[in-house]
Amino acid sequence: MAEVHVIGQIVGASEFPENDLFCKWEAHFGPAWKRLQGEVSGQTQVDCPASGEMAYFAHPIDLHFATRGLQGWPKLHFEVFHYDWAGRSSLVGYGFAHVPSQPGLHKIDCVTWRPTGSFMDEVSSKFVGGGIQLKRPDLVYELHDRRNVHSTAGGKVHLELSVILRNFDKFGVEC
Amino acid sequence: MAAEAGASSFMLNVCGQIESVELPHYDYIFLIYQFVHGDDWERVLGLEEGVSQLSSKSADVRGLHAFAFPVEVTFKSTNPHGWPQLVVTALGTDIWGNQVVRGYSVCHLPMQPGRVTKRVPLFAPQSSSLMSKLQGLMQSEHPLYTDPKILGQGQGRQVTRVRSLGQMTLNFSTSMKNTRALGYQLLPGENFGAAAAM
Repeated sequence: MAEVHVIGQIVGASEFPENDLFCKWEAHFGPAWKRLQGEVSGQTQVDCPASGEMAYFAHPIDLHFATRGLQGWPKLHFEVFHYDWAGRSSLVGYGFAHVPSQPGLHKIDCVTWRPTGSFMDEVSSKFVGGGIQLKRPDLVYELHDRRNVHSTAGGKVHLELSVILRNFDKFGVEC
Repeated sequence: MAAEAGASSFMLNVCGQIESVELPHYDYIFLIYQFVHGDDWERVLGLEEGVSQLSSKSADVRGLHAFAFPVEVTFKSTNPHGWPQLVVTALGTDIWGNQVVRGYSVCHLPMQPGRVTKRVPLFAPQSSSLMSKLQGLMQSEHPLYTDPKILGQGQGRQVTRVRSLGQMTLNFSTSMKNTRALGYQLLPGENFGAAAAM
């Protein structure tokens, strides 16, 4: 069996309108893949940076997969939330990134977007807080038709991941 | 040196140092480092916990704490899962003269052979309310992790609120033994399988 290790960190997030952020993440993979070890989802700490525009999560990711095929290569999906002074959280970005298929160290900047509502939705979210969210979060990372979604750019989630492959060469796969 | 035939474990050797810390808010700082790793890993050589010197900020515009604090460790493992992480606690003294935590940082040891310089953020846990924060300032009880090793895992972090307030610069030189013999490909472009499969 070929094995893949994905080890690294969700370093942080930047370029969002507010800096007090946290992030929820989840790993998704196809049926040919089997998770052997490691958590497939989690939620980071909330960072309220003293200065600068980057919120740091330093959240470890350590996944170990076994696979019989290349289809359904694992991907990580992120939901970034803003944590306000009253302790409420509102969604500020959805994003996803495929786990790199090349072994070695990768620094990945994952772009995010948030759904845009009608004019009234946007106005009320400015005053009351909160924002609209997707009914089906899998729209973010699956190959679905997105034509009915209107989105606005969010900031970036920064990842530092190392990929270790095992036995791929025995199956004649080049990565 | 040829890899050992029939090896069941590999070794990771890391030599490096914690070069410096930028913590502009605080003056007298010292560091304690620890390793967090999975159950398949065993530390063969190196300290379990290292304590640095006490540093004062430089008087110039950099306001830098320079440590040049060596980190040298060798691990043995049968599985890359649980790859070791370095957890560093930066401690200082508050106005009452008591030792308080000023920040934490966590990063994985490198997973590729070679030399690398890293900049890692420092963050400190925050009180959950203004009252407890004021109380903490008066009574010298600042929030801290009961076991800093919790930073090596993802679970349980969602309830913590932190404030990132500085950067740590480190460098590592890494070498491995037997990772190739066990079939692990750590770097792109390594195509040793053709020989191994025969």
